[in-house]
Amino acid sequence: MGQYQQRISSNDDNYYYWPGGSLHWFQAIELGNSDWGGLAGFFRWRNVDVPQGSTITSAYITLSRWYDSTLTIKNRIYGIDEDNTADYTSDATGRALTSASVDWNPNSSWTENVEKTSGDIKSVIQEIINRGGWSSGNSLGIRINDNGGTAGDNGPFVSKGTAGTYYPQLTINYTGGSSPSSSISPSSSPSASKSLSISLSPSVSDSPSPSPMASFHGLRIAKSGRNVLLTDNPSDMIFDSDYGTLKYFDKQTLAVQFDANNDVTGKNTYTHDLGYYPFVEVFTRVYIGSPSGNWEYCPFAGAGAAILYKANYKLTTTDITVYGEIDGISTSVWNFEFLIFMYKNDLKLS
Amino acid sequence: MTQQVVKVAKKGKSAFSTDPNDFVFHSAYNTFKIIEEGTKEITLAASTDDQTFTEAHTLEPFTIPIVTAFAKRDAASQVFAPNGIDVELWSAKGGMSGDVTFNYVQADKDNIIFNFDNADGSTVAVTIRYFILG
Repeated sequence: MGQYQQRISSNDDNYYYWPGGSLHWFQAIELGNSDWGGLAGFFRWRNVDVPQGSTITSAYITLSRWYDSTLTIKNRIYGIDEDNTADYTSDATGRALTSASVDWNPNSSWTENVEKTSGDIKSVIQEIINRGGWSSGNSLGIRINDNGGTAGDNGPFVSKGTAGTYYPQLTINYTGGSSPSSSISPSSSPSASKSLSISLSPSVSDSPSPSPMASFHGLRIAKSGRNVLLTDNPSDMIFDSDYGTLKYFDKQTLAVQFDANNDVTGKNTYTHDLGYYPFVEVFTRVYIGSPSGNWEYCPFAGAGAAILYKANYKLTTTDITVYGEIDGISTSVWNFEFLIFMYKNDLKLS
Repeated sequence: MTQQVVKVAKKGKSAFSTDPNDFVFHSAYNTFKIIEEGTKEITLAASTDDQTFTEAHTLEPFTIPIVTAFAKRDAASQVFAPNGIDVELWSAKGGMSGDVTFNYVQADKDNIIFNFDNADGSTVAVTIRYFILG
């Protein structure tokens, strides 16, 4: 898997179009719907080293507001449908757009220098990368149009010409594609048995075996019955270094106990102190008396004769808190046991 | 024929173990790969249940994928997993009465589907983090 991630590098690579024909750049990029009509922002990233024929697995733009504010805008993101988009020193409003577009309606609360990430625009990027004249290292353009926002809901975003460092950024994650590097045949793969097919790349071979796929640099282990040389489908792989995995980190147990004579809910907390929201899986079992019962995927709700019981959890960047609760009439001591599997994968929600 | 495998044992465990739990990686068992991940920002309408949002995926021809997701109210610090449990999702306290509920995440061959209830009298901004595993 490859990644391109760059910020706008020149004042001439970002500008916006004000209704009525005025062009603006340097200081900020104004987006949204003004009292005089919708605005259009133009962005261009240089040296986009994504090979033609790549499969775009995800792509997005990050923007930052120039200052704190509440601003509700509705955007539609297009690509500039050109092989190698020129800068914006001349009016670009007539440039052809991709047929693919993605709507982006970010939440209204904006904080200065806190970037917001668009929805996935891989379809837009894919359309450009698939162009016959596209080649790695070309410049790629994006246009963001107002898409029916409320008149007067417009505001400035950080541009290359704005003080600070949060210029518009483009991130493209991709796999495959024709590489400008020398041709490498995967024919030296040590296919060990019928049940295991491994490709270790780069591995150079003189053998004239066919290369039905684009060159691949990494490690793949195919599932039984699948040919690692003939598929790019990640579902055919036991392991594929183009794709991340859930990195198992820790397992913890927590118990919640409360006497229904006094309370109907209880909680407990484990401090992980990872500094980010980790990917977790939680299982729970509920019992009165001795430990018993099945482990259920949490959150969950169950029911007894006259009781509804339920369990849930919350994550923060430092803790995981688990909760148990009953609804109904009971005089028993209730036990909620939680089994927490934690992974070192960042949810990136802050 | 002896089956050949690639195995990476956990620290302190023997690579010759026959217990798959002793391995960080074992080529005889599939590893969950993160085929796609991303964030989606949504705004829940006030006092409205059963609000559905979709995010297109492009996994064809991989058909319906395994998905999971977590959600965070923008104004809060806690993250929640889906499942229609009426809990006090966004409050700092640990009580359990309804406000915003992340009902479910589903997938079909085209989209990931998220569903929420919002009992709050105001609109609520939520960010979702989703993963497609395979």
